[in-house]
Amino acid sequence: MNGSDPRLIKPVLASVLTVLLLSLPWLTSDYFVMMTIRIMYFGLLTMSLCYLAGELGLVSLMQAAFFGIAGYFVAILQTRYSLPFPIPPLAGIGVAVLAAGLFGLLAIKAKGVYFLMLTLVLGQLVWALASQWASMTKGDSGITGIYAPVLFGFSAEKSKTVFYFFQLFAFSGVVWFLAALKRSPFGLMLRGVRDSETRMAMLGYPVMLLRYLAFIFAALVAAVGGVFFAYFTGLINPHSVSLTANVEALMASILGGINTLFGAVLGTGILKTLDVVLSGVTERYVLVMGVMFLVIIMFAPKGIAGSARQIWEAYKGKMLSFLALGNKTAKP
Amino acid sequence: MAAMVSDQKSALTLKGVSRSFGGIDAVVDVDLVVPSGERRALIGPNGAGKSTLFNLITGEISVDHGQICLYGQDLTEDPVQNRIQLGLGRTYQSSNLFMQMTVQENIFLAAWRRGERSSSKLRTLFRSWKKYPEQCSRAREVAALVGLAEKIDVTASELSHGEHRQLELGITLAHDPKILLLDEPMAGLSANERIFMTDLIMGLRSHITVVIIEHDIETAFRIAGQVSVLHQGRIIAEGSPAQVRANQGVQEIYTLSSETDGEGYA
Repeated sequence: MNGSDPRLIKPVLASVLTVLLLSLPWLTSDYFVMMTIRIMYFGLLTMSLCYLAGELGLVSLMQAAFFGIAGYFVAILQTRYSLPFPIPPLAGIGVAVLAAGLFGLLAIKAKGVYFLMLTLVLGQLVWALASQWASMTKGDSGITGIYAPVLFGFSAEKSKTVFYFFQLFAFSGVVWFLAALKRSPFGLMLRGVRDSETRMAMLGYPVMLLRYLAFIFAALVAAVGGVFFAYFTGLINPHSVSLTANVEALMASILGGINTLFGAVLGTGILKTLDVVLSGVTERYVLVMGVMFLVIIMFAPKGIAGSARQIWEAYKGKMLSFLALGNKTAKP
Repeated sequence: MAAMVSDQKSALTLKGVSRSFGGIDAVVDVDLVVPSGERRALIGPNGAGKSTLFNLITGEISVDHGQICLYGQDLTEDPVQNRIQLGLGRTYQSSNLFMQMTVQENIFLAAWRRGERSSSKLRTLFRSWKKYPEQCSRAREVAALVGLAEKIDVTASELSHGEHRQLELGITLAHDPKILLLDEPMAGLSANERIFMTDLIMGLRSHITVVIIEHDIETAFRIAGQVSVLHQGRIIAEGSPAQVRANQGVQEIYTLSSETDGEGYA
């Protein structure tokens, strides 16, 4: 039976997902499209964090800084210098990557809790700049009036659907980029560094360079998210580079699971949805979310995607035979 | 001139190598010459400085005094990488593996470094590692050699202790070393696993120079053509197994250490 062939599951799921994503604006309401857009750009920030945590075992507290740096540059270059479309986002991402190149020189030397502290300090530095350098960043009130570009005659500012496809395109590109990095020899090398740095050095690998590259790639992913954040919300303020923004992404990655890209998106999706749903129901929604986290950490330490995978691996045989049985009864 | 010639023939030469840690002399004035292709055992009681000596040879720890040469080339001040390029490989006393990765991935990483120069950098970033048939088949080949053919897709953390030791050796062999430092490869193995491992080491290609730290003297004597005995950081005896066995000083250390520390000799 076709339904029972495990090799078919991935391509089938991928095609269904592609069709769903491409037809989403016509299937659902504007509100749902808007939520999806939010989940995608915050998802990029979460993925950036998950990439470092999953592949290198390093938890960074400054990914939001790269997210924000890109957003700020889009805002400044567009509102202050009126540069035309492809320049602000490309420059924004470029500057964020450069910043990662600079901060990375310091950060990659540290591990574990020291990496955490160093990235905390560097992240706060960026936050302080955003908040204090008022002549450039307009301080705590932030920069407003950032407009999404017009693409091939379609305005992403006026139409949510156009914006959605614009972002879906970039988002898919980044997902492909990260997925390729993860399954390449480079990906193996990073996990090698995560599992045993001394062994990697003993095999002759440049451990520091590998870490450095991963740090820069992660910043690139966060920066792409930042660009879309600035375009979609039309505003950027110090909150987007803050520790709080970073911790939200961290919570999303714990929720979804750090080891898969899907987990990062799922975690962000759940968090952002709950944010909206629960805050409408009760004022104490933060408390509810806190309890939920406790439950996740205690009973599903690998996150929802990680646990789902474990359950799938354990019951794969049973589920597949169940599906096969279903097929047989459907077609007597 | 004679010294020069013997230097070039010897794979590994240590001259007056010393290292102390906070006033404790771990390795004192060690001279060691291991000719190319020799099987040398390094024995001695616990804390004799055997593992430290390995760390000094690989460059993971720097020397206080002395000189370390591989194939006549002075590498005393060189980083680990340069020594590895000359064909140095080591295993660790407690398995130092990539625990969250499969057996094949573990060995692939070692095999990759060896043949890496043939592939472009960009592909290394984006092309699936499974699309490198040369390294993948090398990984399978080595896994079979160390007896892990059937565990190739198993995560290292799920293997038994004995299998960890086999994988430990596999990673090192996949790197195709010319000088192999084996740090207690049999530690904690069952009798059967021990036999398998001994055969494996004895069956290594003859051009590979092997220095093995081994607690079990009988095993060490079986594998090695030459034995060096380290005690309190110094080499106190050297020679064929028969010569070392007959050495008064060695006998004294071993009676003493087996009285005070039965475990180490077991």
